[in-house]
Amino acid sequence: MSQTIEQVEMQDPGVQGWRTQKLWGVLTLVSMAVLMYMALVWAPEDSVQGAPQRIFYIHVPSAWIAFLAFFVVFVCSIAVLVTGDRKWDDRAVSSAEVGVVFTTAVLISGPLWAKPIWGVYWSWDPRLTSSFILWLIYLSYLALRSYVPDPARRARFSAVLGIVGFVDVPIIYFSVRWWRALHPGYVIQPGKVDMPGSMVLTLMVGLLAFTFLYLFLLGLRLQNQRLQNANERKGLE
Amino acid sequence: MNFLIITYIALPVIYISYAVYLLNRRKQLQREQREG
Repeated sequence: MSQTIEQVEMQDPGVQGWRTQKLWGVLTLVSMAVLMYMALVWAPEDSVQGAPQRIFYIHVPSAWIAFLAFFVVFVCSIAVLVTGDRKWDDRAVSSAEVGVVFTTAVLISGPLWAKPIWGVYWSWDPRLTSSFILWLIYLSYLALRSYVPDPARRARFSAVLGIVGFVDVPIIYFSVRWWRALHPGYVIQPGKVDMPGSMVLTLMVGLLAFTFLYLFLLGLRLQNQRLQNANERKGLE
Repeated sequence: MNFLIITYIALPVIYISYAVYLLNRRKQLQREQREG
């Protein structure tokens, strides 16, 4: 029997409705427009780096949201192994795919900042290398899924990779402290901020805008996953 | 300045392309569902 999108949404309360999707979409567009104005016009130009420093306002939030996406994969993967419920696997794979898109944006924006500042696009610096490895881990996660036809085994195998792969996130975060690195260190730490207030505010607006973008893309991806599951079930009937 | 402009064009293109891909995929899945 054919299912409508509403029926698919009702099967899993975690899947956002189309109205919620529109809300995240509108919030993303408005906050991104505010961010563009703040990042390119309102925030003061960095006295050392000049204009390329403004890349920071979209590079850093993309990285933070990639970490958030992979944290969601980590939590959902634990839930898969504990409960065996397929809805957690749907959430994990959706967040992993969105996280890969955010990591791709980080790996493109980083070299575009590095070229005018360091003189080279890429260096095998610990943070850059561990970020590249993170991208490969979650690409492998997505590739692995296409090689395991049985849904239950696919969920278990990818859950293990989703948990183990997350180990790379704290390595990336602490890499600038653990090793001597080219990549700039922390600009915001508890009790210590190495930036003017206007730059911090722009960064925070960026973080909010990219959070809305993540929620929008995750909702779309999750709806597609549920539709795909419904189609697969229908094919088996 | 060029690198700034390229970045502020490239990143939105990546995110918008992915959103468009998801919307097209959704349409395709809904069509498959209707056609059985």
